[in-house]
Amino acid sequence: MIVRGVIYSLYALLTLPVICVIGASLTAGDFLSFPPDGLSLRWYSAFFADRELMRGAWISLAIAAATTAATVAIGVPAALFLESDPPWRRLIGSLFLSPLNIPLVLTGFAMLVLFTRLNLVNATGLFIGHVVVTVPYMVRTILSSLALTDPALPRAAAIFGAGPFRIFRHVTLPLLKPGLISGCVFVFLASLNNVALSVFIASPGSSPLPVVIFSRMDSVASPSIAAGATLLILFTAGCVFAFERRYSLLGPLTGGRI
Amino acid sequence: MISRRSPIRTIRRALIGLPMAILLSVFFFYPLTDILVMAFQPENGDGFTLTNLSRFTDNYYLGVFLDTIVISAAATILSIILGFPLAWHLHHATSAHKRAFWALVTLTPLMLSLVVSSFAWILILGSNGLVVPVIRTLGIDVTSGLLNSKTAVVIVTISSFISYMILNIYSALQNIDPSIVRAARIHGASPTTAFFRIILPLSTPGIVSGSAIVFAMSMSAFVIPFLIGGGRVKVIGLFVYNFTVQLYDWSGGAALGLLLFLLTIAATWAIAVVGDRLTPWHRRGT
Amino acid sequence: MTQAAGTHCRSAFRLVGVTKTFGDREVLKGLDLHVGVGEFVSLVGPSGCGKTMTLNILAGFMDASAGEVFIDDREVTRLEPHKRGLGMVFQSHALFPHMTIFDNVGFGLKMRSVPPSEIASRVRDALDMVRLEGFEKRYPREMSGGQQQRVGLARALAVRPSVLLMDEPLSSLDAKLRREMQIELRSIQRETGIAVLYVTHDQEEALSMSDRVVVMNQGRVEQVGPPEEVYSQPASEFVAGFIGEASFLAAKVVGYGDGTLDAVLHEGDGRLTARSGGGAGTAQDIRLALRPDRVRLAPVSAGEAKIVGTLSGKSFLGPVMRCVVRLTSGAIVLADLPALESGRFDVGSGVALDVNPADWLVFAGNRA
Repeated sequence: MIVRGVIYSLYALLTLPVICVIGASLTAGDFLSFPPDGLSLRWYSAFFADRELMRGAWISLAIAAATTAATVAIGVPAALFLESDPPWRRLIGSLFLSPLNIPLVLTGFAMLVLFTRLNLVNATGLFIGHVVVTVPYMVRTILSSLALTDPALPRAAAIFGAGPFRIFRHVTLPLLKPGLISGCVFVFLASLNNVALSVFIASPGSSPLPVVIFSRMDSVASPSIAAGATLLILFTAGCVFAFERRYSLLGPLTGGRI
Repeated sequence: MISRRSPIRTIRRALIGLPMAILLSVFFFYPLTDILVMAFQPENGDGFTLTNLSRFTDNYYLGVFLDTIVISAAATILSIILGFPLAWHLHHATSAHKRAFWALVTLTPLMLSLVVSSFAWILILGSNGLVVPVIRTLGIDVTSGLLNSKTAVVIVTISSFISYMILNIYSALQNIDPSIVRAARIHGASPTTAFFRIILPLSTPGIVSGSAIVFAMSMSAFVIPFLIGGGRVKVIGLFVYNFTVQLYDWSGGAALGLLLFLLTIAATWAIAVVGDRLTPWHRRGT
Repeated sequence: MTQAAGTHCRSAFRLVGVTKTFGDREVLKGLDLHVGVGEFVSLVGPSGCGKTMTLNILAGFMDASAGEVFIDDREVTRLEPHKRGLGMVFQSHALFPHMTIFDNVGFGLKMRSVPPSEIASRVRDALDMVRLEGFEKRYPREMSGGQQQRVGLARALAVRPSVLLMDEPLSSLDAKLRREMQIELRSIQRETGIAVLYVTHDQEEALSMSDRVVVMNQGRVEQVGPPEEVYSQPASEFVAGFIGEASFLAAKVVGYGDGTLDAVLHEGDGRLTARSGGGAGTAQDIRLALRPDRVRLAPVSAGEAKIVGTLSGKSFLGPVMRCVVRLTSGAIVLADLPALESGRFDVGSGVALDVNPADWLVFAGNRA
């Protein structure tokens, strides 16, 4: 059963980072180390006492929430638009999904240039940036949700007298609910954990938590960072587990191909 | 949706796509075009020049391009080798519960922000971490630690992106009609032969699409090389970041970014071509 | 009604006492099956009767919990599928999408290390046999459903197996194509002399194609025999109902005659005389099955002790007119009349059933 051992070791390697971060955050000692030097929650208190880290956490949460709302408001109609089979549907579809295909480093740079000129290198700029790079996930999720619904249902509603708006409200929207929820969870987490784009647009006063950790890692690497990272992981994992059963998150990741 | 081409209906329908179009036009396509133009503009003022680009064609930068490609290729190939067994295992899960469990394990790396996983690997590979003390007890002296090396960057890259590879291969395996494997076995193929002649070829589309994703993400990565490479590992994405955020050399950054983009597209296209060659029975786009 | 374990006639394959249990559920119960060289045998039954399981055990995809499997008189019970020398045609055709037709058909030969020149000629022969010569370089996705199924057949034939397994191979084809393929399959089988085990849920298909029919129900063999025998002398009520059509009535035996028995239908529907000596033995309570094509209708005449009822409906089926006769008790009897005769009786009129004693199928009373 060597094969089995190899497989389980590989799975273990996948989870190794998580275990290390959580373990390091629980150290009782004064320095970062894994395995931890005794167990204690002191670094969690240190985290909550650290103004910069806490500010980062609040900004992250706020931006993630705002981003999610915006992607729903913009992405859902965009998906419905594509679904209604307009002319040049394929081209428009590729354009709508194109942020997924451009490396974040380039998108980040481009936005930095634009926002510097517009004086938006702050939380607002971050918000806009997050929306741009996450809305395609929402569009893709809603599209695949729509593809799975029985096309006969809106037609049935129409035969019985429902106009387009009513069809949307009473037939389409309820059917979209699972896809919508999984899209929201995904976008929220993507925004929360985003760093590659955010380092370009963040500024000292408005840095989300991942960016704060990023800048700290060079200099003062204290276990309170590990505590912050752990909280990020736990929050993310918590969301995934809470929603996983009923709203698969594989949809946004793969556009419903799985 | 029932479509009837009356003008009011068409306009109304077009309206709902408008916010997205505006958002992307203003905050995505326009800025990208802007830096594309910047790549060809001299430092101050207008005009057209190729000097921004030619800056990066000397031996030093060619070396950097090469390093980036090598790291990305290594990460991709190892992701295939390490990811296939896990996709296989997931494919053969004996119950829905087990499948859900192992699928979640597979998705764990995706739940980590890149900083968090880099942070974790610094802990693991650092001089006070897990690996080095173990190696030391075996008598091998690793004074410099495992970090700040291309190897470390490859390891962390694999750890962060392998989930995409696993999912793609898994999806391809799931799409293989089980009676095809039975047909092979009944007509004389041993389990090993059936794997190499039937299953592996039929899972190639998944391997190819997974490779395209991992390779592209790896080519443009900078967070991992920055944090893990400690300034010693030089990849293009990192240069773009340095030029733009730290040196404010935007023309340089734009030119380098353009080259990176073109290189990535060329490589992804090459992977697609190889993929098509390997799967002559497959109609592209299915 | 099982055949004696043929030690004197060479069998293509044999299943002896095969049992399969899943947990505490017995899916196959002591199955005995024997197919001779060159025989075309169909395995029919309703879903869940175990016919696919039987095929899987014969192929080696599943292990029997008890019993033995012999192929060409060689014991193969624990042998892996790829060593059994079989050929198989699948319901979903299961062609290798990444190989050309040539490579598909030659696959089994390649696995058996047949030299390439011989592979080429045998593939050609196999494709000729299914009338697909010239298609060697195509890919499966370029071919129609019927063509794909014929490629599947060619692939199985090319290896010249001792037994050809077929798992509902025609069920995904439309009716007309299916009928054509049935005829083609049978003629190919006769030409090559390969033994075939053909699994299907379509009893008409089984009757039209087979040398012998095996009727299965709930993991057991209910009857084995040539199609005519299974149709006209069903061994059990289940077979009577599953193969062909039948109307069922309950009755009580009131007397015996010379090779006959007299019975009275329940609830005063009438008397009848049937041939005795069948599977019912000397049971008092019996159940009777009647094939629609064996019922004639006659006008009601007083004084004759016949079964009478009302003609409650007629449906035009093309070759025959199906008449629904409702007996006094409400029981239904179906009668298929030649179209020419059907005008004699109007819906709503009284009719009497005219049945030859030999045409009553008699079974013991209490339903198992």
